[in-house]
Amino acid sequence: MLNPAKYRDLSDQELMRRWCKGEKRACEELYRRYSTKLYSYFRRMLGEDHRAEDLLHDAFVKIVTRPALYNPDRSFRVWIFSVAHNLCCNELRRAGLRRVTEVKCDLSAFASEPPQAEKRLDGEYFRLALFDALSRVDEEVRSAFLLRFQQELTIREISDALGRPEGTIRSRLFYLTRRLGVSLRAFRYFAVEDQNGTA
Amino acid sequence: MEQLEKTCVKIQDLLVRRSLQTLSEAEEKAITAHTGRCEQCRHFAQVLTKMSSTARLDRDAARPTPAIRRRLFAAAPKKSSTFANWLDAAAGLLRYRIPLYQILIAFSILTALFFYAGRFDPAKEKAPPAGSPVVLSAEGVLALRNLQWLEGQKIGQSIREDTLITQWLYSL
Repeated sequence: MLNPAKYRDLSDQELMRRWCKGEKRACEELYRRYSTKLYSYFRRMLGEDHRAEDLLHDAFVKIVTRPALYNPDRSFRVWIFSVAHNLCCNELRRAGLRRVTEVKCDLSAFASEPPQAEKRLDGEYFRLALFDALSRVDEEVRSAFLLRFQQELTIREISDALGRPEGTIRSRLFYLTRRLGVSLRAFRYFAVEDQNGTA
Repeated sequence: MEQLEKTCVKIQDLLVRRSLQTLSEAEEKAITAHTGRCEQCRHFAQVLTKMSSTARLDRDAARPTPAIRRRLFAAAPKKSSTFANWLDAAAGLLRYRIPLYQILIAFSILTALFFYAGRFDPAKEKAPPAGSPVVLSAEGVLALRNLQWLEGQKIGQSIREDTLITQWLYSL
């Protein structure tokens, strides 16, 4: 049994190996590393905090109760997001929420009144608009976007996690990112902030 | 103007690609050169940068409630070694509350079977020591005489005799 601080230096694979041998602190360290990441992913995928917490619990129950499901040759990060993606798809399918239709921010309003919009738009509006637009796309594309930009996985890792060819992931992400970039062009206020170095 | 728009489209495609993967040096130079003079594409690049940074910052924007962690690890199986696993298994048996009389009955049956099987073990049958006198009963003497008579009758000379002898042997 290591000193608790030493667990922070261990790799994910090593932590999983130790958890399989019964070291509880190894699993706690994995929870510390991935709970917030998974929670933010679930929040954006499902759009509801309490559902996100339920799925976070379910994902870690898999790790805690059945660590043998993990293949040590595979990246733990990819595996856990693969589990998370499957849980999300099942949850959305079960609840009939394939698309989150709640509209929090209407982009067309900002585009039609640029002078007033420019005064009001800031990072918070941009964030709302981005995730609102994202909530209206297909769950698999949304998942790929979140894994790339929120979790900073590589295209190869996303392909592995979602079980799709790299080319498919790349092209879907390309079109989604371009579409989002075009629809968010109405936001200009932060551009001034960036130029002044305050953003 | 149309030429400029086509260039902008290409540059914006490159900007999107840059947000997904690394570009070649030539492509980076083309972007730098174009965005230096095109305000529209420069703004598009800023939007993409802002988009990726917003998504990245969102990763740590909210944290799950501590109750999840408590609930999760309270239900986690505690296992630290093979010995501890055996102890857990034994404790698990006790948790099922098997009545003691059932265990005692099962033990008694197994013990009885063990001794019953050992009693009729042919290997344990004691043979009489060599040279000791053999005491025959009346049936034994009769059977011995019949055998002597059979030897005197030259057994097996005819099928009829064989059949009779076989019938007699089965009747014993």
